Amino acid sequence: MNRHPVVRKVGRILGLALLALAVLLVDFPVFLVVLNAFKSAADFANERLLPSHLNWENFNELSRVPFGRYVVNSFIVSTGGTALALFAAVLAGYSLSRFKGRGFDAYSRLLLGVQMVPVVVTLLPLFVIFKDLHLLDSYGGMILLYGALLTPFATWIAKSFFDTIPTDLEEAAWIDGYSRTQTLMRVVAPVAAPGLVSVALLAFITAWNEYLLASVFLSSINHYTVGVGLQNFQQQLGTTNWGPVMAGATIAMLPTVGVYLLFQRYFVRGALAGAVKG
Amino acid sequence: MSTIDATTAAGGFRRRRGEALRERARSWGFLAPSMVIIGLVTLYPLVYAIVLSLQHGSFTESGHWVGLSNFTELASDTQFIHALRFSAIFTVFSALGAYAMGLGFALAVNRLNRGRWLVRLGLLLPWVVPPVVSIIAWHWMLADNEAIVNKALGFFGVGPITFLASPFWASVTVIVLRIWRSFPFIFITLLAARMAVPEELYEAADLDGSGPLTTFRKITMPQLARVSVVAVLLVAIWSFNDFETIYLLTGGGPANATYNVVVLSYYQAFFGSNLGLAAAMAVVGLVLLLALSAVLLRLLRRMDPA
Repeated sequence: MNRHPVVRKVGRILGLALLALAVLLVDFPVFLVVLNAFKSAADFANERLLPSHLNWENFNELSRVPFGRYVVNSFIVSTGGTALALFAAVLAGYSLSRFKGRGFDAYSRLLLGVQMVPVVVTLLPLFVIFKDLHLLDSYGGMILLYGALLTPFATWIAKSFFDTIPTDLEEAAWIDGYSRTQTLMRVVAPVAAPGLVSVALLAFITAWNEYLLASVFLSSINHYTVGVGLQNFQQQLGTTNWGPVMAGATIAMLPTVGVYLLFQRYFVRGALAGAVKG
Repeated sequence: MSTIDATTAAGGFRRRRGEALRERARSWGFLAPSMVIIGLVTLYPLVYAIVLSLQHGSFTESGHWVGLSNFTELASDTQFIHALRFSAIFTVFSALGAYAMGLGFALAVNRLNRGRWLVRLGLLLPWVVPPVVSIIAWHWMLADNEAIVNKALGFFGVGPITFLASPFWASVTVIVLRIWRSFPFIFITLLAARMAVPEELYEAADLDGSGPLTTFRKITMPQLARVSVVAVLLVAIWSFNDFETIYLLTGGGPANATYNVVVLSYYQAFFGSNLGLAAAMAVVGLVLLLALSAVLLRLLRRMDPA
């Protein structure tokens, strides 16, 4: 294609501007949440796009509900679920990566299949089972649910990271008299650490963002996660008083967005490991 | 792929059959925690759901067997048929829309020489934001005739559109929101796949004098085909199973227009009189999902270089 260099240059710049605009447009709803959180009632009434001044009133309004409690609850069940899933996924992922056989193949296919099962299918029976076991409305119950929700994809990603680690290291460790478990914990896991960070990151974000299970299994307001509490708060305030809801929404997305901004590289690596190998 | 065979490797070092057997046992032991968790919290409830679907019961009274009557009841339940149809529409349009958007962004970002990470950062954001938060944002943007999107449309002389009050526009809205939530995954997957395509292929095409459309058709698409099918399959599964987008934005309304199978089953379970019917809805949904996956996986296998 022989176009004039000036035409090409202009085309490039136009393309870049268009791409930048598209990205801004895509992220617009997220920016809006933060902007709205700092708007006063007058700003809303005047339909300003930007807040007239940095107004923290909306955040004070959050004290009408135990919002801090919601945040703590979300941390407890998300990290608990992530830890449980990571424990199961490291062991299983290593096993599936290193051992071959019909049983192992079948199990790895089962893990893929399980991710297809909609939460609503198991929701009902789980509700009945958890009721009998007195696990409804408890941290323990939520951690168990999140552990199960996260384990299949965490295992799959962990396996794909273990696959990339050469086995020479382990053979050397065996010669030194290490057992399988010692080899995994002292030799393989440290090498796989960046991969495992990716797994933990994806698991944590998924758990923090989960809504359906938390809304069904947590019934007392002091156990609500941020998602459930925020939704509840929005229903209380209705569609006329958005400021406080937006302040809550800003806090609700802070941990996942923050973790993502800090560890973008790990997040992307984990996401790709899960998808491309599938 | 270098894989140590448990039996021979351990046997090679220790030359004892007992040790090899123990090694095999240990390999299964490693799987045990994952099996216990998934078995108890996913597989057992799954079987339980199928059992429930064959019963008539509620949370307070235990069920009695009714055979397939829940399923025959669903076959003539107009609301369920409508939900099935909307699930199909929602899944297909969401997956195709997310694919088009993800592919477009992936190809555009691939051409960037600088600032790729920044653009990627911005494009993955919708994935990371909690659905409750993004739905609150969209709700505010679309709430009524005075809301920001209608203001913007008014600027171009369009609208106002009752996004959440008209059955048609509410359906469009939940699909667009679903596309917004799922395209980042397609984008990042296709970007990685596109970056892995050897540059020589394009250089050769350039020498042959192929235009951009030809190279797209003859090189880019075939190279991305496998990844595309996998990514679309995953997004289709997530869309079919999507509860939050619909439940939080429209609640199935207006006039029941945006009920999908998942949301309808949820309402039937917690507000209806028959748990069996709710379970049956969910089971029908799962079977359809399995069928869709089977079709797409077959397509994938056919694409495998023999």
